[in-house]
Amino acid sequence: MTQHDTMISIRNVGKRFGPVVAVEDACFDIRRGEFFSILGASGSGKTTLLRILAGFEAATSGAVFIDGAQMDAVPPHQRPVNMVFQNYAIFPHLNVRDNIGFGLRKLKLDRAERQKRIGAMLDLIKLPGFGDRHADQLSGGQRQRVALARALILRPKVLLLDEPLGALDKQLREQMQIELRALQRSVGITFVLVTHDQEEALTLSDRIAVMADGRVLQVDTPAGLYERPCSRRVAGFVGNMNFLPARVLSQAGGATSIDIPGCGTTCSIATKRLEHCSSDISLAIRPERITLHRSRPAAPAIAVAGVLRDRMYLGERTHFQIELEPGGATVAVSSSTMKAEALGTIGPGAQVWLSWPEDALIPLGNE
Amino acid sequence: MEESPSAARMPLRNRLQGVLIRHESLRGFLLLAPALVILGITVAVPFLLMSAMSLWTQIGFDYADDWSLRNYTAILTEPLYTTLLLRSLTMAMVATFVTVVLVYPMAYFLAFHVHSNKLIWLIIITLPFWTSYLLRVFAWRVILGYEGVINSGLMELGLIGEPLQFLLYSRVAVIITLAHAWAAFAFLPIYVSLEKIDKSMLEASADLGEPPVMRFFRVILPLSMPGVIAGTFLMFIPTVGDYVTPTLVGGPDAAMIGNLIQLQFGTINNWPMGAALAITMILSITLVGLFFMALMHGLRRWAR
Amino acid sequence: MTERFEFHKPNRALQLYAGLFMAMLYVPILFIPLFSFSDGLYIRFPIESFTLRWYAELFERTAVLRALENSVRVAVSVAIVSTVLGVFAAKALARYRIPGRGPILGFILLPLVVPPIIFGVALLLLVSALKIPLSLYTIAAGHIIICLPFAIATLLPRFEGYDAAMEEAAADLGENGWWVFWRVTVPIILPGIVASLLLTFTVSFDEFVMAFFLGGTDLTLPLYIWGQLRIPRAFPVVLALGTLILLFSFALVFIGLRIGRRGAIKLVDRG
Repeated sequence: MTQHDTMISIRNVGKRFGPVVAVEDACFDIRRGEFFSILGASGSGKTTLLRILAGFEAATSGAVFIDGAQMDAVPPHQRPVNMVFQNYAIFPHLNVRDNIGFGLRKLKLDRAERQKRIGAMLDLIKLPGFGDRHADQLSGGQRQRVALARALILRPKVLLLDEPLGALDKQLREQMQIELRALQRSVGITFVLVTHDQEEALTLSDRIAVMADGRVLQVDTPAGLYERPCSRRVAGFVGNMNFLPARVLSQAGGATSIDIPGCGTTCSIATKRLEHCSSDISLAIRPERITLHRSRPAAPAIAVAGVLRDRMYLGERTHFQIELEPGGATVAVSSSTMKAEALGTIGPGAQVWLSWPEDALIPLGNE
Repeated sequence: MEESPSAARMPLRNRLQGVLIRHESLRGFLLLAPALVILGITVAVPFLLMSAMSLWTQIGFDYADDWSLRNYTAILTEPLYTTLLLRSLTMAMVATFVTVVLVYPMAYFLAFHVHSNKLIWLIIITLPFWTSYLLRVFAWRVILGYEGVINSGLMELGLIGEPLQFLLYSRVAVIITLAHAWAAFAFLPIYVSLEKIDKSMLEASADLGEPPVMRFFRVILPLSMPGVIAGTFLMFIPTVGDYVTPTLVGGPDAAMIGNLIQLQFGTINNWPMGAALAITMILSITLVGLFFMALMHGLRRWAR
Repeated sequence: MTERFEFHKPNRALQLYAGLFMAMLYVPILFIPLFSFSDGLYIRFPIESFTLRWYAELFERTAVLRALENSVRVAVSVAIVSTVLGVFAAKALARYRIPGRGPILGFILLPLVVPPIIFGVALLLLVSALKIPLSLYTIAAGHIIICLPFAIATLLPRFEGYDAAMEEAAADLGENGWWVFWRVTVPIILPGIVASLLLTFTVSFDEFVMAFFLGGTDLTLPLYIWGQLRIPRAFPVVLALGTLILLFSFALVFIGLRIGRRGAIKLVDRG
């Protein structure tokens, strides 16, 4: 990646509030034109990091560069970024038009040009004719669009979004996700989104940084995070995951033999996938990578027996909970409802078999 | 550090800006500074000066700044001072007690039985408090005076033959006037503490079959105690030092420490003694307050 | 809920008490306007005939008009200064992480509770030590001590009542601190500013104790009234003057509290 491709460079950024460490040694780049998400639970430091980018908080250590320029001593009003706030911060004393045009004062535009730009923004956010509405006459979704227009009208190098969809109900949120993605493509501005909703991050982003306890755990594409999580925390945070305790037995050639006590079986995994792992590891496996059988399958070498404990119908998919050992932990299996129907009517207590392809197992160190 | 050389090259203005951005509390203090400086000059410095002067002695038209506790010894030993001090404390205490007791049901009514236009009620109750203290005290002189509303009214009705002497210029007159003038100050914290009580909790306790009287003594009164204590302090502290009311409706028998302080700065012209009296007043209010807090603390433990 | 909870049922005894309470609060004050219309030189029942002559006499007294002018001048400056200081201080207290916030707020609100005679006397000591002559300026200085807590108590809930992100959003959209203040902060807290101006004006206009200790030869209205109280023959004019002052003060405070809304409740909650 060349310097030219990098829009934001976060270099060893740390932030403390008194004794509390909010962000610790964050270090990653955000590319030009990218839709980037910072994903984490509340208190993970993601919002603090975003506010450091906007200039509302000063980093205690490290440096932030935006488009090659160091930002530490640059106050918020001089930074080439604009922000969509969590509760939108629509100015209550102004109407929609004046809210959107708030940042234009400094450009000293004449009236016609100003109105033209605001009109174009109103069209962009699909609210033409709303210019004279007052802030308190807008619905949640409309407020969100106005906040977007107000930030985009200044053509920032980066648009920061702080949980912009958090206040909306589920249906509206899904619709706005699609619009947000389309908007980002059409304006071509770098978006940095902060969210606690992993589904939102996966749907919208080109790349995602996962944060927990002030640390950046992993920066990767959605598929990379989902398929190759680097730790149990990331694996557990992005999507659903089963964790099977396992132990390294022996190495031979390029493969390592691993014992999975809970399943009463062993398997072998390419040794290079086991770098950084000690002998006690966890094997992570996505519920949808597990296949359910009513009798011992012939094809895969490894098949594990279990007892069905619960079955949940979720429309397109059906979820199962399977107990591998009596009284032991259960494994979640997600199957398309069509396949589940094919199994026939099995209920709790039924004997079942599980199988999975070898590459579905993700070895992770136990931290 | 790689950033320090670039920081040094920045112009001073930018560096200052950088410092302000990095230190949020500094920005806060800059905004607070004007108010704090003014209060420092008009409150803190004068108070230190007053403390210093209370250790001086007045000799003729001059001060002897030889640092002695003479004024305080006089205050603690001469009956004139101790009587007035104790009288001020007791009268303020009685007035406060009366006011809190009278105001509580009103606050209870507003918090629990008024469901609309609460703001208007609140404004009307607190309205007089904001307006001329002098005139509100004067109103009581009109009422209690020798030929005032009560005396002339009763005489007109033929109930009394000649004006009742004890109405004006008595301790009762001072207490009534103080209670009336400061009611809003005692009212507000009590009301706020009652308003904060979760109504659904009371409904739950009613659901458990507790009779209303028990509920009041077991739930409402204990929960509103912080407000009662706050109201007590808010009224007691300023009334101890009042001198407008005792001057206008109190007369010599009901003079308070405030009158004495005022005289030291007026006709008696003994400023060091006035300063010492003011300090003594603050200290005695603090002592009574601490005693009251300890008492409340003890009561609470005993109630458990 | 089929059965209405007892708090929704009217309680006759409490209603009666509330009525009596309000009567006791207002009736004593109402005697001032009542007797200001009495023709007699002395305050007494029965009032034989009504007149407006005391009001007419009031406007002929140049001393009254001069005192009125002095009071207005002091009160206007005090209201402006304490509200401006209050806006800055309330913003700092509401928006910034300030070490020692509690003690600082306590110090600022102290004059609400401490007897004003203490501040009056203490300030008098300083003023005379610095050989500053007593004047309307010294009165105003004393009034600022008393009015600042009211201004801050009125303004603080305003700042806490809206999202700090509003100011951040304005900064984010390219405005520096000065413009953020004028384009966002002031419009949003405007009701609080108006309320603070009205309340601090009234408090200063009606204040007596500070003025008594810190006043020079120029009298404010309360000082003028105080002087007249020694002369029983002057009572009717004082009643007329008092009526006008009360009317004026009640109107200003009512508007101020209406606009300031929660200010009055929060005030003591914090104090």
